[in-house]
Amino acid sequence: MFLQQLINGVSLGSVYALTAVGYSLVFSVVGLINMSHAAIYMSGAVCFSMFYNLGGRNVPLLVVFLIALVYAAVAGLTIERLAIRPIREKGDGMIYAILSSIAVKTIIESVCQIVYGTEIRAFPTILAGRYVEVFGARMMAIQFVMLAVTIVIMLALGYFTLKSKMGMGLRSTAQNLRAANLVGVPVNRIVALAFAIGSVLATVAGIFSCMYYQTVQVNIGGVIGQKAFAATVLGGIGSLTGSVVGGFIIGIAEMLTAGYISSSYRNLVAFSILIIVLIFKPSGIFGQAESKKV
Amino acid sequence: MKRLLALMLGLLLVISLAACAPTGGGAQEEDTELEAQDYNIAVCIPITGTNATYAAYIKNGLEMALANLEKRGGLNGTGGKIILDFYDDNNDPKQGVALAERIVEDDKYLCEIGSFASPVSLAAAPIYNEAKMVQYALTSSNTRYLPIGEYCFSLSTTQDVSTANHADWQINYLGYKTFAVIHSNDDWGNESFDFYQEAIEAEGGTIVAEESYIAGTTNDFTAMLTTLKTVDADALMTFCGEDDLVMMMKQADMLGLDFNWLSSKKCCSATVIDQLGELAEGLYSLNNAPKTKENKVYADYFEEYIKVYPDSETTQKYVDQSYNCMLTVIWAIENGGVDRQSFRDTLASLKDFMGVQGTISFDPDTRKVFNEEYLAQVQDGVWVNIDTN
Repeated sequence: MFLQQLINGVSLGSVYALTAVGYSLVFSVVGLINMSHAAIYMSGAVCFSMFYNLGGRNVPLLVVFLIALVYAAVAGLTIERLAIRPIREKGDGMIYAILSSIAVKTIIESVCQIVYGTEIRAFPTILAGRYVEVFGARMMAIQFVMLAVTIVIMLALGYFTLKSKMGMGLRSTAQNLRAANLVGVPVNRIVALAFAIGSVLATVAGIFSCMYYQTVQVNIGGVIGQKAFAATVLGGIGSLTGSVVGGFIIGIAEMLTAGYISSSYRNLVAFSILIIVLIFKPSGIFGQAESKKV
Repeated sequence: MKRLLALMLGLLLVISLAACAPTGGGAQEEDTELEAQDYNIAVCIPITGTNATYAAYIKNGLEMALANLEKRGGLNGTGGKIILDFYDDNNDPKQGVALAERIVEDDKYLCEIGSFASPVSLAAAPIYNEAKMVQYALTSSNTRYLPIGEYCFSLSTTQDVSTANHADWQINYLGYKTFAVIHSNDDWGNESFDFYQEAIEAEGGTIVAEESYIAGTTNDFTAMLTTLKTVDADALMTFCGEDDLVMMMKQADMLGLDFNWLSSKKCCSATVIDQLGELAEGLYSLNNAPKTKENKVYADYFEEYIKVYPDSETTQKYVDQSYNCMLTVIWAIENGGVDRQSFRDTLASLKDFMGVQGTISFDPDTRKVFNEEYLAQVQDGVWVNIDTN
């Protein structure tokens, strides 16, 4: 049973990890906790479901997937351009930008409730019924795909940030936005890119999560948003590797708690781990402590 | 010139007033006709939040009943209407209390309908009772609700009665002896579990494992299901919302975990079948009397229902319940319940009233609702009531 719970935990951790990376990416570039991120997670999955249903449920899933990714990228760019950049450029402080992102989250959730409804709906899945058995534990094909997608995306993102020109721009902006601007890095474009990538990752996580559970509902963002944010902080906010590790820790801790203690305590244990880590290492597992000049 | 203008204006005013005055014959006719009177009712439901699905069902059911009222010419055929004002309590007892304080102060309201969840209704009930205003918490099955005061009404059979029926049929008819239980860790889920455990033990059965979860905080039930499979119980009983049951059954299927599924009456709904498809086959629950189009009330209701839920073959339990609720409200108003006190007294006297699923009666003293319950199973895509005798 332990192995089965571990597999379930890794699957849940994959979802948290992908979502957490989006939080971390935006934070590392502009120092903003983007509260609309979880709403993009949900609305991306809703967008996928809507287009799938509009197409009579026989549209190739890859096509609907790409449409949802385009939606996510456009949504990320729009949020950055309309709700964040004006505040950032005025230098009004990030607290206003966070409030603005909360407003965006509420708007997205309300629109989805009105357009899509609040009922739970079936969500198409892939490789249904396929699995491999390892020492009596069953790993479903979709669980394997989720894990593989998480790893591939993380590697691709790592390569992009290290090797590409835009990636270097991302890193330099993350180190010092003002200095990057002074040396000619197109900061606005870089910040917009961070929002677009973060939103795409949230949507990928939302779609695969719904494929795994085979259901979708407009309230799924609230649950995942808290955990993914906890994973980001646990791993070290601003650290992409930390977000992934934090996601897996929270996911596995939750599953083992639900399996061996009680499901009612799953959040309690997951968030207790977060608090304990923060007491001993306030910057998170992979985060770097800010040095203060004296 | 000014005088002429003033004269003309005065003349015009006199002509206008004369035109507005009733004729003698008309006045006589009015005396013999009932006057159309509109009534306002406040509805507090969780329009947003985790129970928003149920709020949508309730809203639709109430409005369908009003659409049929309009078709038959309004209250007592006079054209009188019932006007609903919807308030969002967000499934939050504090919000429910705040709304109750506002609603009882507003004289235009005859009664209040809602909320959906018992904790919200329980929190607000003392305020409605103190104000002597009916709180029609149509879905509250909590045994502590009705004793709060004589202005509390519900259309749900209380949990002590339902869980005793579950235990009786599951053990004596289905032949199960050991049970695993999943329940939501909230007022309703915990109370249901306590009554269920008592009833199962009274019938000679055993609960071998119990798992609880906090509704709305997770979509993932794989860990609980994996653990419960290891105890090898005869059946798995669930006290949860229909959305959670759908997710549990889908996730169990995905992990290849076979259970004999049993569910509370809350999940005896068309939605569960729609969402689960073939997976729903064999699921047991409790149900009221069969829905049949020979019952004119159901036939009229179904006509409205398919306008909102096209292609439906049957109707949803919470829409049924809210439709029934509005029918009883209409009945009470049409039978003299035109102010807060007379409305309460008339509603309490409801007896053998034909609803969409059999008759409904209130015990005049306890206000407990009486409607028959049956063991039901999903067979060929519909809930079928089983003759257990």
